[in-house]
Amino acid sequence: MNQQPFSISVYEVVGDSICVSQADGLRLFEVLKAALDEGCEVVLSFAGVESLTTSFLTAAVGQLLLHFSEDDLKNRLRARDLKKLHTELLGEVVKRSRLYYADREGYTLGRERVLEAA
Amino acid sequence: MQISFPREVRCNLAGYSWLARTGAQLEPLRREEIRFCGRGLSWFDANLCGPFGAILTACKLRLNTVSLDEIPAPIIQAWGQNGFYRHFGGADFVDHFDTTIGYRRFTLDEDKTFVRYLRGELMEKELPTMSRSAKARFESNVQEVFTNAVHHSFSVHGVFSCGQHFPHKNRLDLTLTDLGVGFGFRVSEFLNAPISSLAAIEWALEQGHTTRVGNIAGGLGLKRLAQFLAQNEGHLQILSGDGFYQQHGGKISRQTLRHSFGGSVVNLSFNTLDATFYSEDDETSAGEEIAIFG
Repeated sequence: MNQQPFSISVYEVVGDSICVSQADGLRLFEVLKAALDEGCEVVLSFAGVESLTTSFLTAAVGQLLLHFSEDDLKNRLRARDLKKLHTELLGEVVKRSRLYYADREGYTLGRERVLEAA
Repeated sequence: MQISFPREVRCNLAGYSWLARTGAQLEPLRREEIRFCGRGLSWFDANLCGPFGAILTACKLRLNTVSLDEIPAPIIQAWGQNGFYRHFGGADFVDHFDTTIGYRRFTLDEDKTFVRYLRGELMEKELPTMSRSAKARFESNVQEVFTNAVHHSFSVHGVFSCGQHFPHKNRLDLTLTDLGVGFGFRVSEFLNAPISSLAAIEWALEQGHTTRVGNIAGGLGLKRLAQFLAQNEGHLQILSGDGFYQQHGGKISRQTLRHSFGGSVVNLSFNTLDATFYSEDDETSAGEEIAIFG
């Protein structure tokens, strides 16, 4: 069966063009996770979003890596209507989340150097 | 108990040291009458109403009474213009020159209110010229600093913000203060090893470093603002615990203070003479889809 991707509007979920808080990010995460748990392909639309922070995106998207493999997310989760800044923020969040979830216990980049300096 | 102001309270090592010492002096007091005497005070950088107000608020919440006496008229006026004075027995004054960024205390769930405050107060001031997109990035970075203060500090009293445009000094300052656990405690706890406040500040400024643990990694705003201020030839000042870190342009200085501040202060001081036009591509990829984890 060839299903259409399920579209989720960030603006609709948050109810605001200002998407900055971790709490709002967690709300979006719950919606995303539920759709992905159902086996859907998801397209996340950022149309109408004015303000975005990495805190919001990390809560919403970054922690999906805890529940789904990166290959699975690569195949089933897409984004559209992104401003250039927001694309960059999303890229930074994905990059850091990869590092974080690859080594959650030891996510202490530069730790040795810092401890030496302390 | 009486506490005297120094002759000047400015955004410099002496000013931050005075704030740290005053906070430490007031911390153990309960049910006391505390009188600040302004005799001899000739200057108070108005943006420092943020950390000063945070210290006084915490002091009042520990059931002390606080009075600000013999404050010179020009300082009363500055404190009245940014809304600080009304919290400590004074009245408001009209800001005819539109140079103030209001003294505000934000509770920890007021992220959106803070965005509106930024837009209404800071973004309308004489910042370096930026394209719409560069402005959005800048706003996002300041917002991240606020969010980090909220989520890193566990500050029960919230986050205090205040700012000031100093047209004669070509400076525009925004100061965020929390009375939380400080960089040193959080980073030590995270690394599971004791490190100094100064080392913790530097650790937090490294790209990608965060103490936000659990399922949610952290923010990058402070690092990006440090880069912006280096290019802008402005100042970034961070006081946390006994650590004082200052970046002016690309130059960095560090001091360990004698007294420890019970929280953190981040001062962003922009050089308004900077003629650089900060520009970024503003396009939206309408309709075009990208793989988020591609």
